[in-house]
Amino acid sequence: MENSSLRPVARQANLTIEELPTELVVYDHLRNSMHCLNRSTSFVWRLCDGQTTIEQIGARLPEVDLPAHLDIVRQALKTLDKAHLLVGKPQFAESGLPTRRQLVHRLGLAAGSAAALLPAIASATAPTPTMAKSGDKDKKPKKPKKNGQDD
Amino acid sequence: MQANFEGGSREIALVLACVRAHYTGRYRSDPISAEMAWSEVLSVASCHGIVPLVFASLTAAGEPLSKEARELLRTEFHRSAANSFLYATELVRLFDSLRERKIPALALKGPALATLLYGKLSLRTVRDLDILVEKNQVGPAMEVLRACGYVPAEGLDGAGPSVKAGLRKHALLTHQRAGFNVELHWAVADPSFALPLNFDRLWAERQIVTILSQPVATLGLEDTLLTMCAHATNHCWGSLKWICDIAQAVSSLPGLDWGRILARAQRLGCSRMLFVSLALASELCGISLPKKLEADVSSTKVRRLCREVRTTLLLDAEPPVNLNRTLTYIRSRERLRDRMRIALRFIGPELRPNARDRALVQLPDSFQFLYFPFRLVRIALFCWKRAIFPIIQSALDWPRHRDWTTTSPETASP
Repeated sequence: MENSSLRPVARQANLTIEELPTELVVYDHLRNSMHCLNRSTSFVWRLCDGQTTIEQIGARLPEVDLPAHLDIVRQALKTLDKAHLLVGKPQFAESGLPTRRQLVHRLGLAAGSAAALLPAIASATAPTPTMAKSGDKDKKPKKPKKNGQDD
Repeated sequence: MQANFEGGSREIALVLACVRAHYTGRYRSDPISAEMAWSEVLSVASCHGIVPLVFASLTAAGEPLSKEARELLRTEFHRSAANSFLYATELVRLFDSLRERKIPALALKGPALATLLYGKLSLRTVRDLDILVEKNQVGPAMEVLRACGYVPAEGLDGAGPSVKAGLRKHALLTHQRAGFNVELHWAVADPSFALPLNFDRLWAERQIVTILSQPVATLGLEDTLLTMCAHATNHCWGSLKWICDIAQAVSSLPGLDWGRILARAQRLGCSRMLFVSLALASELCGISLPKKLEADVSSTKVRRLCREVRTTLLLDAEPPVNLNRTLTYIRSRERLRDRMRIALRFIGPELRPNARDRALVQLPDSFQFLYFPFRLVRIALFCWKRAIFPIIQSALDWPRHRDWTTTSPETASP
């Protein structure tokens, strides 16, 4: 099991960040990919300053209407890591993480509201002009796929 | 000013409520009915290119949306945002290449406008890139675009002949593999639109916007507003996106010098199209206009044109085409010489002998000039048959052996 004093660091380089009322849109210049972080994920991401421990982040979750539960932070870090939005890989055992469905059940959240509250990132990857130029097969902007919303 | 939203569907009313909420910060709409057709809401918002604004307003207002509705809008917003970033990346790449070749170029609309007006690429949909270069730089710019993987679309082999003939304002190019569309402009408006905006002047007034951390040259503030109004007029204000852009410019660009804008518009003869655009932005988006403009945007001619555009938008009807479109252009101009120029540009091609004239009568080379009077005779006969004769016929109550008003593709024009 990971150390709860882990201090994750949010990646800042080569990103364009746009804040919308309920989403944080992050464009990764290096990968030409766009991520839309929901409220809880962006909240966790903003607290990843290298100073705040995941336990402290967890304690602040009620600010975004979520219970102070460490598994939610770990879920958010997992999705952020998958989207390459963290510096380094957070050291925690993914095998110990509950699935999204288990988390909803464990926290006693209503199924409908859970989708909006629990950490999730919708990502869309666009083909780079270099890819297009190098003779890759035709690629158009892909339909966004849900990342972190599957069980 | 308050818009009268009567007559539109509840889906259009919701889209307009979202648009107004974006500018006023106050979301006011009837409670969302369980029978709201969300696919229709999405279709209206997509069609008008304002999915991001609708999505942002609805979520900010905390509307209790069904899961289906939320996902539908969210997915479309993500798709639009990804596309905007993708096009922004491509614009930066093309401007780097043009800069390397020392070709002065200005980014029109697209990601530059999204950055300048909204400060966010994700809040404005982008369907293509528009790049303006000086007329004599079209060839070199075309070469740069070819080197970047673009080919002229629709079988056009370069823009040279079109530039020389002065018939068009841009050439469309498509990326061979990625499918990006780029419109390479050598003029801001079609010659038929009679709005001569000089490149040197536009270049001198340019400003730099930072897109994805890279500098890109675009039009100055005042030119941005005037060209947005001209563009919206050119399309008979057929999309809410353009009206929203104008509203956004008025509300988010405090540095707009209205004295300069009005003077420039007057000099170019495009004051009325400016006032109609501003009146529409005020009515539909709920923005406040500067006091000094109130009298101008409330004039009868402006109000009448506004009312027609609003009806078309609310009823989701197609904007006018052909003759009606030209009439709208004429009505949007205040100077007689511009109106005449637009009318002549429309009539001019009709006066030229066409293939049907040549098929009806075959004249030897030395008598080719006779096609012109022949053409005039044919037009006169056409008008007689299609317009004058039916009027006389109905006035005198003659029996109608043939319905002269029936239009078939063959008889739609002489």
